[in-house]
Amino acid sequence: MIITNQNIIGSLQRGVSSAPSFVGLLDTYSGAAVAYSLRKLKDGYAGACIEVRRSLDNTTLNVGFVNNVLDVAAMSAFVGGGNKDNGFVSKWYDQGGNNKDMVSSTASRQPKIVADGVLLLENGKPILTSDGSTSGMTSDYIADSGISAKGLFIVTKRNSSTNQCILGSYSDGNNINYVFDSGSTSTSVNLNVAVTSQKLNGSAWVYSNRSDVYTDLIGQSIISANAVYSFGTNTADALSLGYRYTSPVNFEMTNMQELVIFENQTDQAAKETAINSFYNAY
Amino acid sequence: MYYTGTKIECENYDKLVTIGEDYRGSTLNWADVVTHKDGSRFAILKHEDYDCNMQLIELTSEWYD
Repeated sequence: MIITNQNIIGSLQRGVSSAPSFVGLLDTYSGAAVAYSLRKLKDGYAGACIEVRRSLDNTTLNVGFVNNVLDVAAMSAFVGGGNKDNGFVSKWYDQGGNNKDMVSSTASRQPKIVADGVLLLENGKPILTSDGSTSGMTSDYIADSGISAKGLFIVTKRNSSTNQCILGSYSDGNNINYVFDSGSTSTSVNLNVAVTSQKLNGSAWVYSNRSDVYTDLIGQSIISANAVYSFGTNTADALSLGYRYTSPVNFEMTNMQELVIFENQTDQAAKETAINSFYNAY
Repeated sequence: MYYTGTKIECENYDKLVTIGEDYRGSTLNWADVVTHKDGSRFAILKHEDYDCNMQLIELTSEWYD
């Protein structure tokens, strides 16, 4: 064999081990209908994470990922670090591949991610933070379309407001997607969605009314549940954060770090463990 | 705090702020007009930088169901 520079280099290249590639939640578990997070959930996802509006001049920036988490450096540089610099999330991109982005097109209702120049964090991770009054977002995803049996995975925290709803609808007050947290006189929680196998931070979670929910969601909460929807496919039922997107004074969204809805109910415990391995909520 | 007035007055306040703020991207306007549950009263969230001569109120639970 004639030794040349080429076959020496070829041997060296074959011997070099490449860095392990990123494996996201959606690489391991398929079937996501919608997937919103402030971390990257799928290796092949090439889009942005969020669209941020800065209070300085209301311009916006699509913020992506660095090392598979939100590029907070780019976002903070854009928003600014002054005591009147606020960053609001106007769009939360769907990483599930179905383009069902969460949007909040009304400025006063957009959740904050930077407040007075400071990145908002929960347990060391960025978090979309409601304003305690009217924050909400909406998508055009309708849970009762396609496969009605879903697996829900939510990383959230309620704030001090007594009127919050984790997943609501676009405009229909008779149907919500998941869980009221409220101090109102009504005690109903899930409307026209049958929920089973519900867990909060790894333990079975049972509640009977809104007061229970209000008490239980005081801290960072990883919620998982199986849900079967039965309220039709009207656009009024489109998935929203907060109760009714078109009725903003009623029940605002909770603070959110992640929401994934699978069109299956498999591997609930394993998915929850995988999510907690990132957030360390419990 | 909220301004209360006719629906048109509330919509005009939203336009005032929206034009003044020059929103871009996905953001289309400042705030939505809130309708009282009885359908006869209207309100809109006050922007801290924009005043007008409408009446200021706190929005209480009587406004929604």
